[in-house]
Formats: sequence, C-alpha cells, structure tokens
Amino acid sequence: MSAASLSASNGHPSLRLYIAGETPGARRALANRRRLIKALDGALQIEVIDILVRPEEAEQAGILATPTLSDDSIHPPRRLIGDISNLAEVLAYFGYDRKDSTR
Amino acid sequence: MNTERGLAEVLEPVDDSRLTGISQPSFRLLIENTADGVLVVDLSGAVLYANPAAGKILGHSREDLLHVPLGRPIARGETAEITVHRPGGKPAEVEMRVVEVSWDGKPALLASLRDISARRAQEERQRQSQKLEAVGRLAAGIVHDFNNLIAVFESGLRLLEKRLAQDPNDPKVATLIEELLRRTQNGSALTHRLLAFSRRQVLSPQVTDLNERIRSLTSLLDRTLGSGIRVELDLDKASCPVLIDPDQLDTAILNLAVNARDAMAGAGVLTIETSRDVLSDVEELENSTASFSRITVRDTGCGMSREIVAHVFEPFFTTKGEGEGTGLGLSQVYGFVRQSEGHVHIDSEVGRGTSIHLFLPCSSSPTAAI
Repeated sequence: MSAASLSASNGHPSLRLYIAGETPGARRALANRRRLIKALDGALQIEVIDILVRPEEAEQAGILATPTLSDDSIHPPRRLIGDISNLAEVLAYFGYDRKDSTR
Repeated sequence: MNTERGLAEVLEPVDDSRLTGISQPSFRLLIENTADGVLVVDLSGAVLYANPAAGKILGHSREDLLHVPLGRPIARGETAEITVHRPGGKPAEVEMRVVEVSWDGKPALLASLRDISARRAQEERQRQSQKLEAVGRLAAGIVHDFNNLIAVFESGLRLLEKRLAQDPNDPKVATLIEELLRRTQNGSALTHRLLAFSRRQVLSPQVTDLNERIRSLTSLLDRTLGSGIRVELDLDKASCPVLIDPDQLDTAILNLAVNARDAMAGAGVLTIETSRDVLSDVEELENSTASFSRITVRDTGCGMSREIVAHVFEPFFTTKGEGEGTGLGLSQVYGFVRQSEGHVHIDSEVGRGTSIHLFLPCSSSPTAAI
C-alpha cells in the first residue's frame, strides 16, 4: 500500500512537509517530523518546504494550507493537513510500519 | 414549517425525531449560510463539498475547490490549527475541527474551519500592552535613577565651569569630562535595555536557558528596583532548558520583581532562584514524574494573607492604592505559565515575605517536545 517515492540518493522513501515560517504550528510540525523519522529508524526522508521562502513550490504543488505532509510523487498526491502528532495514524496513512519499539 | 413554535421549543435539545421534521433544503440552507467554513473531504483527501464560507476562508471559489487534493484533515483532540495561504492575500490562522461523516454512502471527513486571525491579533495586542504596563510600573525606579544621573551632571558641569574659569589648562578638566562621558553611558545603557524590552515581538516559544535569560535581565532589575533592594541570584546549573516565549518570561519576572519591590517598601532582598524539580502534588498532571525547571522569586516583604493569595491571579485584583497598580501583573504571570504548560505556586507569610514558584516543563521531556 505504500505509495511513497524512493529518493534517488539513498533509496529511502521521501515525503514533503510544507510549513509557513516559524509559527508555533510550524515548530510542532517540525518536532513531529523528527519523531516520524525516528519512528522509522531514519529510513524515511521528509523534505521541509517553508512556503514563505519557496512560495513557487507550494503553488506548483497546490498547497492551500500548512502544515501539510505530502507524498507528491504520486497522482493525485497523498496528503495530511493539520496535526500530525499521532505517529501511528500518520505512518499508516502513508503505508509505513514503524520500526522503533516505543509507543 | 410550524410557525407557531416558540423560542423555548427551539432551544430544547434536538432529537432525531425533530431532525427528521426539517427538510433537506433547510439543512442545506443552514450549511450554505453559516459563518464557519464547511468542507467534506473523502478519505484520500479530495474535496467533495465546500460551502461559501470555506471558499472565502481558503481564497478560492467553491467550484475551484472541488476535487482538489487538499489532504486528509487531521486533528488531535478537538481541533488543529492550520495556516491558510490565500492567493495574493495575508496568511490566515484557522481553527479546524474534524468529524467522520458519511457522504453519498461512503465514509468521509467533515472539516469545519473558523478564521481566528482577528482573535490571535487581539491576543498579540494584549501581550504587548501587558509588557508595556510592566515597563510603566518600573517608571518610579527609573525616574529615581535618572534624577541621580542628572544631579551628577549638574554638579559636574558646575565644577567644570569653575575650573575652566580658573585655569583652562588644568589637567583635571580632561579627567572630569572623561568621568561625565562615562556616566552618560550608564544612562544610555539603561534606556537601550528598556527600549529593547518594550519593542513589539511576536509570541514565539523557543528552547530557552533560564539562567542565561535571568542573568541578562538582572542588570535592568538592579538599576531600576532602587538602591534599597539587593538582587541576589541563586541559579542552579542543573535546571533544564524550557520551551517558552523568552520575551514573556522577562515580563513575568519584571512583574514579580515590581510586586516584590512594593511589598518590601523599597528595602530588602529580592532573590531569584532556579532549580530542577519534580512536581508530585498537581492532580491534573498525567505524568507525575514530569521534570520541571523551577524559578522562584522571593522577597523579604510584608507577605500576604491566605485570603489575598486566593485572589492574586485574578485580573484587576490589586492591594495597591488607586493609580499605583492595575492588578494585571500576576495575571500576566499566570497566563504565561499556563500557556507554557507550567504551574504557579505561592508561599507567603504575613510579615516574613513571599515566594512565587514558576514550574516550567523541561523541553527535553517528551510531553514538552511538541
């Protein structure tokens, strides 16, 4: 069911996290990004795109709101928007099995 | 519809039997006219329905929104906050609620969107005014300091005038000028610190070293609390970094220091302590072993009775005379600490003094990492 792309560099699947600036919401999303990567023992890449810095990429991807976690490698892109702190739910949505032993 | 229905009937809890009495077009009318944005999204994240308010909040026509891969909306608990980026407009802070629904017989998600930008802006203005108020409360101390400085200048200039009249080449003239110049730096250091403090800054929680922050603030406290008050620091290296807005911490400490100054009637010892602590007696804490950094601001002032302690965090509560206090200082402290997911405790004894303890969660603990 995993539909994530394999990045060319190291073979790990990769997602994109769209955030905006340094709002508390963006900070939470970045902390959750680290937790997600840790939950997969680093076998996941999540590129961070600050849409205030790279607006053209957000526009191209059709991002309406942030934070959005997106697998842009498939059509239509698979996305979550809002609070991504529930790791199990997030990983299941993108079709990953977590590898660490903690909750 | 039955036009005979009175208000009381309408306010009764709506049950299913009553709902079936409302026509589908009426429901549609409700959804189409509500101020909250309503989106229905399928489980893959594609928009199935958007009401006019959702179109307005997202900055697109509702037709444009249909089938757009917005993403599956996801909230923890009741709501999630998202930032909406409208084409050519300012980003909007939006509160999103998500519930599971059935749409055309298939599972879907209903996201209701509420633009809270105005509320956020109002909160921001309130924080700024609290800060300015704390600065204002320091005015007495600062005026005192500046009066001293002016007195030094006045006598220095008179002395200079005298010496120059006697002997313009007197080497003491240069020394005197040097000394006066040095004093001007004291004054400008104070005003720079105050200006930096009162400058508007957006609320931004960041991992903060409490000891470092408190040390940088004490130069201001030292100079503004008056010469009768000695400021002592007892900063524990083991206190952990905390995720807070450092600007609000400054305001809180300043508020506590001004209260302490008033409680000590201008003479006494103000101690600021930090340490690492575990809170075990707070019922609402799920994890009773959570680590906190504690900041204690202690004075040797008049203390407070139990009755007064019970009210001190209420806005506008003050024991000071008219025109001396607004009663907003401690409510700022309380608001800041609660917002940072911390706790405030007060120990006070009439005639002995008051200790106010701020417990702020360690940023390294998992509960504070987000």
